Amino acid sequence: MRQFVKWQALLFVVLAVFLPALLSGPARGAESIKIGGLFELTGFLAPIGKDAQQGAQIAIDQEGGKLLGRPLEFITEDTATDVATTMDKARKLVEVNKVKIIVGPIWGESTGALGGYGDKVQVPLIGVVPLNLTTILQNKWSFSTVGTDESTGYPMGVYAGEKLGFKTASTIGSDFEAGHEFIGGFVQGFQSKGGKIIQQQWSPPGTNNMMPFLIAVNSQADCLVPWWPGGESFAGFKQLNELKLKMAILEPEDGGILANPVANKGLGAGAIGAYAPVLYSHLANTPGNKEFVAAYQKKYNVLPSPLAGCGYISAKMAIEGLKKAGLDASSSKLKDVLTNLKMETIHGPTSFNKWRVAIYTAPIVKIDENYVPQIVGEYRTKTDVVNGKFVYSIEK
Amino acid sequence: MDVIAISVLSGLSYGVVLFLVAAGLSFVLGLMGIVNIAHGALVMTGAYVGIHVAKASGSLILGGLAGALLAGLVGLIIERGFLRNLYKFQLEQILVTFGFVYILANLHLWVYGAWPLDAFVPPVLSGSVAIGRFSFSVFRILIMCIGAVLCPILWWIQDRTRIGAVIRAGMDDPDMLAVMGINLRPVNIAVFFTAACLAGFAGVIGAFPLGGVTIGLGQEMMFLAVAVVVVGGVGSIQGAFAGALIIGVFSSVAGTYLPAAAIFVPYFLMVIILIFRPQGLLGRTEA
Repeated sequence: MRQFVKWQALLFVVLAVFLPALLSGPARGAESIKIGGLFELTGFLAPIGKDAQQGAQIAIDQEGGKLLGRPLEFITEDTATDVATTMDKARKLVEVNKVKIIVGPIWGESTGALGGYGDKVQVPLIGVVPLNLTTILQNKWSFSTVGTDESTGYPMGVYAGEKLGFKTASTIGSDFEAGHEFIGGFVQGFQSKGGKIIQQQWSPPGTNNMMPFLIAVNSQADCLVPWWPGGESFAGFKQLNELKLKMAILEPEDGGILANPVANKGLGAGAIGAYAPVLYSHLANTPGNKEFVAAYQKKYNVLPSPLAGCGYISAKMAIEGLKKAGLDASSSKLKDVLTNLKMETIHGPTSFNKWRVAIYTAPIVKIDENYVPQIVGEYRTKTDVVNGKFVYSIEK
Repeated sequence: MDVIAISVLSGLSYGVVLFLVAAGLSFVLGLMGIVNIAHGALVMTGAYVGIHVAKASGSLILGGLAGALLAGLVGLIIERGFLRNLYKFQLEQILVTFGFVYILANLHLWVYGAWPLDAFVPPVLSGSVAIGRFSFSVFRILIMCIGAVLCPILWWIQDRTRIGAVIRAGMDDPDMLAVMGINLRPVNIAVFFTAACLAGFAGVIGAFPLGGVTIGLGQEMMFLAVAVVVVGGVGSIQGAFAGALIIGVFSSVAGTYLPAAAIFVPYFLMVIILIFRPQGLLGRTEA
C-alpha cells in the first residue's frame, strides 16, 4: 500500500512539472497576440463608447483573425465611465490577459488616471479621443491619434476668422478641463486670425438647463462658440432653438453628437447650420474610408460616427505598430516604433510627433438641413510644446 | 428688460418641475422618515415610459398618466418589497434605495439605449411667445399653469382633508395615532405611491425644460430636490413650492448674471437656511 502511495506521489510530481509544458508545447507556436480595448459601454458616455468599440472591431476584423502569423485577439472591457472601474479593467487586461497594447478609453478623467498606470507597466495606451494637455506632458506611454483638446478646437478658430470673416465671438464651455481646453484651442486659432473674444461663460458640467447662459449671450458677437459634451449637447441645442437665438454657432469640437449621423437629428433645428471640426467624417475622401464605411454599415447597419472612426484609426495604428515592431519586440521597442509610425489612414497621412500627438487631416463640417455634416474645410494642425506651453499652427 | 424677464420665467418653469419632484420627497421624508435616494430615478422612469406612451398615442395626457402610474408602481414595489421593514433603519434605507438608482438606470439603458430621449411636445403647444429678442415656449407656460393648479390642490388635501390631517398627525406623533386606533400603514403606502407618481409625472413634463431625458437625469434631479426640501422645509407642500421656485429662479438669474456662481446657488441657499432656519422656510415645526 505504502509502495502504491509512493508511486502515486511520484506520478503526481511528474505530471505537475511536465504537464503544463506538454500542454503548452503545441500552443506555444500559436500563442495569440492580444490587444486590449477599454471602452465606455455603460454610464453616461455609453453611446459614444460603443461607437468607438465598434470602429476598433472593424480594424481587428480586417486582419482576418491573424497578425504576424498568430491568432489576433481583441479583448474589450467596459469601463462603466468610471475611473476606478477603468483602472481595475486595465490591470486585468495587462496582468491577467497580458495584452501588448491598449486602445481607449474616452472619459478624460479615466485617460488621465490610466496614463500613470501605462507608464508604470510600460504598455502603450492608444487614445481614441483628443488627450488633455496634462496627460500629454506627464505620461510617456500615452498616444493620441486625434491630437489634443486644444488642437481640435484650434482650426475652428482659424476657419472662423479666415473663411467666415468673423471678428468677435462669445463662448460657453462646460466648466471642466476638456471644456476649457477645447474652447482654449478655438480662442488661440481665432486670435491668430485677429479675432476677439468679447464674452466667456462656463456652465456647470452635466447641467441640462442652459437657458440662463444662452439668455446672457452678448448679441454683439459675430458668433456663439459653445462646447457641450454628450447629453449637454441635447439640452444646449434644444434650448438654443427654443430661444430662437439668431447667431452663427461654431463648436470647437462636436461633443460627440453634432456630427454624429446616428444622433444629431435629436438636437433639433438648433443644430442646422452649425459648424464643428470633427475627429472623423464618414464623407472624407481619404484612403480606405469607403471600405471602412461599407464594412461598418454592413456589420452594424448604421453610418460610422466620428468616435467610430476614431476607434478604427486607433486600432489600425496599434495593429500597424505591432506589425512593424515584430513578434518578440520589447515594449520599449513597440513604443519607439509607434512614435515613429507614419501611415495612411482614413485621416489621410497620419504620424505622431515627439509628444506622441498625431498630425492628421481634420475636417470642418457644417450641418445641412438634412442633418448631414457636410465637409466645408480641412486642416492639419501641428502641435508643439515651447517652454512648457502648447503651441499650434496649421500645416501648409 | 427682456433678459431678466426671460430669465425669471424660465426659472419659474424649471422651479415647477423641481416642485413636483421635491413635494413627494418631502412628504416621504416627513411622514415615513424614509430617505429615498431612488426618488430621482423614479423621475427618469416616469419620463422614459410616459414620453414613449405620449409619442405612440399622440397624447400628452396619456403619457403623463402612464409615466406617473408606472413610477408609482415601481415606487410601490420598492416600498412594499424592501423599505417596509426598514422604517427605523436609515442607513439600510439609503443603501437599498441607492442600489435602486443603479438598477433602474441600467434597466433603462438596456431597454431604451443610451441616447437621450427627446421630450414630447404636442403640436398645439409647440409655439412660442416673443419677449424682446427672445422667444418663450408655450410648453413652459403650460408647465407653470400645471404648478399653479397642482400646488393649491395638494395644499388643500394637506390642510383641509381628513387624509391630510392623518398625514400631518402621523408626522407629529405616530404613536398617538396608533393609540387612537388609526392604522398608519395604508397612509404610508398611499403617500409613497403618490410621491412616486408626482416624480414620474415631473419627468414627462420636465423633459422639455431639461432638454430631454438621460440616464443620469435622476441623480441631478435628486440633488436639487434635496436642496428644495431643505430650503422649503420637510413635510410641507407650500414649503416645497416656495423652495422650488426660489431655487429655480435664483439659479436661472444667477446663471444669467453671475454664471460662475450658478452651480453653487441652490446649495448656498441650502446652507444659509440650515444655519438660520433649520426647519426650512415653511417647514413643519415640532408640535
